[in-house]
Amino acid sequence: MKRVMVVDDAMFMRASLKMMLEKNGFEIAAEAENGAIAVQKYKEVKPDFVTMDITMPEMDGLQALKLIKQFDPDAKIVVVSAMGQEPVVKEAILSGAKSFIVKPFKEDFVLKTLNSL
Amino acid sequence: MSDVFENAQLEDEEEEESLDEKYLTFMLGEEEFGINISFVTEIVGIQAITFVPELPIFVKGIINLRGQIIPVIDVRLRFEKEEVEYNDRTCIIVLQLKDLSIGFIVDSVAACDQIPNESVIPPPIAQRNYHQKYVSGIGKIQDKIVLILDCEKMIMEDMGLSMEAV
Amino acid sequence: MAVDNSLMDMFVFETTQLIDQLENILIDSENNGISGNIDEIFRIMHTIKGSAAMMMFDDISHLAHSIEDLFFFLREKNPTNVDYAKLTDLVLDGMDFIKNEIDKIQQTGSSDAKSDQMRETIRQYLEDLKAAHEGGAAATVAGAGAVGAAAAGAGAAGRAGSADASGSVGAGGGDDVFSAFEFSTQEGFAYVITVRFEDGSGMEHLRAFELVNRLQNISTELRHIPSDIDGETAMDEIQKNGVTIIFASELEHEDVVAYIEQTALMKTYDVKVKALKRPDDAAAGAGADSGTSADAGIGSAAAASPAAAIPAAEKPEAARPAQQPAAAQGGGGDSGGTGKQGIISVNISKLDKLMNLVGELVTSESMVSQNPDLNGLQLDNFNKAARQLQKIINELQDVSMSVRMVPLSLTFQKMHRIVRDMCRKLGKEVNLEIIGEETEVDKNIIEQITNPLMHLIRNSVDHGIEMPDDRERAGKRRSGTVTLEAKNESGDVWIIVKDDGQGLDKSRIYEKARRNGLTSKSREELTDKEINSFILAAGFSTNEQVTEYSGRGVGMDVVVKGIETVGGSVMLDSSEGAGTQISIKIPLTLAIMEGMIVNVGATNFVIPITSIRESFKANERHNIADVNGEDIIMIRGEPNPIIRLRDRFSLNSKAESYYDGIMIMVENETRQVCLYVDAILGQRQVVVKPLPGYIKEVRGISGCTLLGDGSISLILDVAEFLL
Repeated sequence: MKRVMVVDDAMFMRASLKMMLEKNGFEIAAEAENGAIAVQKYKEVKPDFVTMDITMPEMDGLQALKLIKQFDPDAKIVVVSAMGQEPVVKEAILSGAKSFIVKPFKEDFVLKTLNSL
Repeated sequence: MSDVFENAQLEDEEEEESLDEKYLTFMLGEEEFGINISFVTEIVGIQAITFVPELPIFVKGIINLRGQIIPVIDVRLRFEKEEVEYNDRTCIIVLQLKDLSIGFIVDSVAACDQIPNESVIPPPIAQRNYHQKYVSGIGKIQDKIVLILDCEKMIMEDMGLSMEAV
Repeated sequence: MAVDNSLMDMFVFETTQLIDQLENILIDSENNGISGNIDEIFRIMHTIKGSAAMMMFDDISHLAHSIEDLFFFLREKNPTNVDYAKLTDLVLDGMDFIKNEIDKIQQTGSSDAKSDQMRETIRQYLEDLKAAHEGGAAATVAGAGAVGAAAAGAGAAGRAGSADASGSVGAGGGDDVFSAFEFSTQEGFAYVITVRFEDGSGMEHLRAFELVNRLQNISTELRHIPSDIDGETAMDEIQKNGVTIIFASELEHEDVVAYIEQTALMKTYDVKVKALKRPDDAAAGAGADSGTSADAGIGSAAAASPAAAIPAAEKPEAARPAQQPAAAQGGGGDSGGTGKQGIISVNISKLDKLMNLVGELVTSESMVSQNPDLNGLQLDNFNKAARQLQKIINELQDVSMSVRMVPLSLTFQKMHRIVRDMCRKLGKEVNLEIIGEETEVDKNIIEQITNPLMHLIRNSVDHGIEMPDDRERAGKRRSGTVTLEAKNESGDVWIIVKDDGQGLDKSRIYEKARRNGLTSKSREELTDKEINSFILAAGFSTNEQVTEYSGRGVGMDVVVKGIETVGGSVMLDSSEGAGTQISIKIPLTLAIMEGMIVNVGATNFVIPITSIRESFKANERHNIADVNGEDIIMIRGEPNPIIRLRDRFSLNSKAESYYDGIMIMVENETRQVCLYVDAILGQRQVVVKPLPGYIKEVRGISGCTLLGDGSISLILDVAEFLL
């Protein structure tokens, strides 16, 4: 089963995503509420995918993405952004994000994105 | 008594569909009464009852059923019959209606019988008081007569409660 | 997206939390400045925007968005001369809107109010801010709130050869597509691919960017149409017509297709390939306009099954009690790494379950260690081990109770807002002083007392504190003080609401009480305290008018009832001209208490230790007399009515004279009586269980408990005897 780490500072968003993913056969390997925790958990848990929110306290998604890519260049990270965060998304892509999802997202977009990676 | 219940369980497994025509019957003196088995959760022998003051006379009190505290009703007193002393045949039939668990104290448990709906006739109108109120039908098995009880009425009548309140 | 009940619960819960947080920040900012808080406010609005959009509450989401924009501006530009009072009002209004909608959502599941007007107000405010800040033409922030000039360094486009967006590649279907493009490489293959992305997938130009970026790794001479894939025009263009990418690659057709298929959210893609040969071989390859056209749905959708077909799988840990929808355990975020104290939110039903189990554990333990089978046995090792077990269980009990304990701070802080609003609307000046907000109470209790507290605070401001002019005339300071205090005292939590207002008018209260038949005694026969306490009685009201805040006196007895529901009590004290104080006492522990087991005939009762002053055996030296038909025993000069439990409950008991049994003196703040029982059986910690619902309230009994030997003991409601 594909294992995903869900990263978002909003509990609600994490819950929504987790629900969607589990419903469709993904295993939630871990969740994190900021970038720092995400990096730490990635090392511990080594998920197959990561959904990474951008705007988070302590450490944002972009920074976390870069750090994770440093020790795992093959990490499959999908950033989750809101409209209007183009520059950040762009930089994320350049830093190795495999793709991105735009909020509010639909279930099949999330699934298709993860399944295409 | 316990094998009556075991039989009841076995039969339950075999004939699940006809659960609503299966009755647990018990004796009060010479009369046999029946309760639909779907209400019955277990049968235990008479045990220590803790008296609770200021309750109607037929509510004998509460018992400790494996940690759960359950009220018990003396069916004789509910029917305004004379009270008898409890002996080792006296049983408590534990019922569950929605969220309410309650025990009925009866002289003894008789059997677990199948009474098809066709064999049940409505109670005659001119009857003694308690029959009127609590008997919902008269069942015939061969030569036997079983008075089928309306459990909800037995429990709730005159208590000034609604099912939801408990 | 099918809305799940538990998701809705979580949305409501989290959003409510965030709003509370935000309110506190704003009120704090009024005193301490807002700059330190801008970022947090921005983030809160951003989160609410996102969640509301997910739940399709668009009015809430858009409103949050406009506030987010406002704070974005504040954060980036840091303008001076901002009217912060106005700003705070705007945001608080926004919060009220959202709060209202959340309430509706909680009741009915949907939100119906429109936020257009409010958004317009906020937008206008922002425009004014910008105009003032930039002293001229206000810079138009792009509608979606995008930051200004996006960095132009799109590395991908840089390597492209001469790209010309005017070439109509798509037109003329049969033509050789490749004729429009020049390639200098003469090896490998030339590719022209066109990709369309899923409708609504968002930021399509960046999706194109991502693909282009990736394709760099396997291609040369890459260019794309539109040539500029930055900015909104590109996004619109690509949404409509897709993106066309032209490049040369060594990879074979299938490999390139496989490469492309790794792109997320493509609707369709079209790959045309032509072998690049030397000029003399060109003829062979020309026209071989082979390619792959695919509905990307086939590739990337392979693994995704239609969502509708799969029923929602419940998380195994989510507690699912009969009535409540289960909210999945939130926040796995144990932020040990950041040095903050880790906090998680837990569904309260799990806490209830934990409490019940601990309670049963306490009972079970006593059933083991006090089992009748052990009577008379010499069991030193066993006893030692049992004591250790008890010790651990006690600790477990303490911890599981503390888990449910929540500080009053959040509740208390809410009161600031109430006081502030009321002052504004009534033209009064009131200072709210909060003391001891770190005091903790059981979570259940917090929910029950929040409304009563709000009511009391409102009363204080509305009816207690006088208008500034009146206060001045009375020689007081213009601004009144309302003190909200919480403290722990011997197993109870005290919450005190005190004001230095005009106090209660005893004459009016007395008159009203008489008029409403609450008393037939004369004014002189009643103490001040008794007169004031009429306010707490049902059916009392001195307000001739219903004010928006306090309504009729129907409020006070509802307050008292709410407090009594959690086992607390309310006391009132007032001094005309000086102020009023309302004290609420709430028991700390709910379900487990220390009790004395007593026996009356065949019945055992448990009396809460906290109510017992002392117990003793009466003898001839005690002065027992009959006063007006009531037996009284004098103890240290105080008369104590004797209550025979046997008589109260119609029990059979052998103890005849008062010298046979035991006297248990019980008391509350004002009264003291002696309960007469046959014997004391011991003292024990007991788990309080309610009487089964079928048994209606029995006066004098507050519950029951299982003793160590499995017998049931009734718990005495001492208050009944102290009336």
